[in-house]
Amino acid sequence: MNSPDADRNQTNQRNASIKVYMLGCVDFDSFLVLQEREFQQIRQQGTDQATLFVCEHPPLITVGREGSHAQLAQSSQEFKASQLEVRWINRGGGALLHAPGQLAVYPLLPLKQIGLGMDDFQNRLVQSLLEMSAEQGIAADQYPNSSDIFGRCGQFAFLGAAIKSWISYYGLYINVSPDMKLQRLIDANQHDHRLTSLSATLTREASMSSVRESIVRNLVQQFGYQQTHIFTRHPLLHRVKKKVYVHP
Amino acid sequence: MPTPILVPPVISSPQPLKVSLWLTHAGEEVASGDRVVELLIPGVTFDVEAPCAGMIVSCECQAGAEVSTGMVLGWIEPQDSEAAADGNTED
Repeated sequence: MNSPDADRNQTNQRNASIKVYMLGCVDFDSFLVLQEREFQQIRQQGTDQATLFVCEHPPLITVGREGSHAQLAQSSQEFKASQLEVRWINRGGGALLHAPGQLAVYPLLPLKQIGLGMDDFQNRLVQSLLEMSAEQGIAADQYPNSSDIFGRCGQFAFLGAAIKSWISYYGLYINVSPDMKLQRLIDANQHDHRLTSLSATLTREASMSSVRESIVRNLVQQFGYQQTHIFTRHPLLHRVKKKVYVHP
Repeated sequence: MPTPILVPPVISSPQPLKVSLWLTHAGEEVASGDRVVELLIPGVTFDVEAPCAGMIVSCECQAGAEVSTGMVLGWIEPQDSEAAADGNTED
């Protein structure tokens, strides 16, 4: 593994491209199919070309490797009765409630090709979040020895990424302006920060499109990609309307 | 001769790297490149792959254990067919 300086030089000099899919609201199963398909493509190509998925999800709880039952305010049966699915998945981070208003950002990066280790990858995700926060006018910080990003009102951004075959998948989540009643179904995180959103921190409605543009630009910059190809839909995704009833 | 499953050089900073969980167990057959154990730093997991095909003979580090680059996570007894193939090549 290279030193951080060498990594920075390497990423700065690359002229590779990154595909960015801005997808709107995508159900989690469809996203998993897209992610796996893209992952296999990146693996087969063996180049430094990368993909970034940016979307929102219908209400759903996922629990990462650092999560526990203690984080869930209700039992699995109660969640099921509310038509709120709970899934235990192989990413870092704890329990998260995904819902419209929360931006999910999934960078699929060939880390070996771009010369980054696990901690370099983590640092660049955190830096992107901090820079995005600063651009939104929020003073944010990283809790020591953790990946939690918090502002004056609590935690609004979360890391939940994974790496296999030296390719990253899953990623990070930003509470822009989700229904905070739903967020209360997840207990406060391990450092007792309240869960909050950018809108609550700003005390005005945060702009989803502005946050989306900012985090994409910062991620692309942090990972040193020079050419960005932006798509606003994916050919494998079909637009459907689904009503979800949730009774918190 | 068992082959070690080593912690790959995944981090350069002094932050703790932990074993998240084993995706296999002693006695199980694995193929080369199969994910066998997952490592964790805050917010990010890393899947360690089997260095060769064979049978897992031991898991040295349990979930939650702190590890560092080059440490032995477990051992794999390489498959007979691989050894046989090596033998044939030598002939």
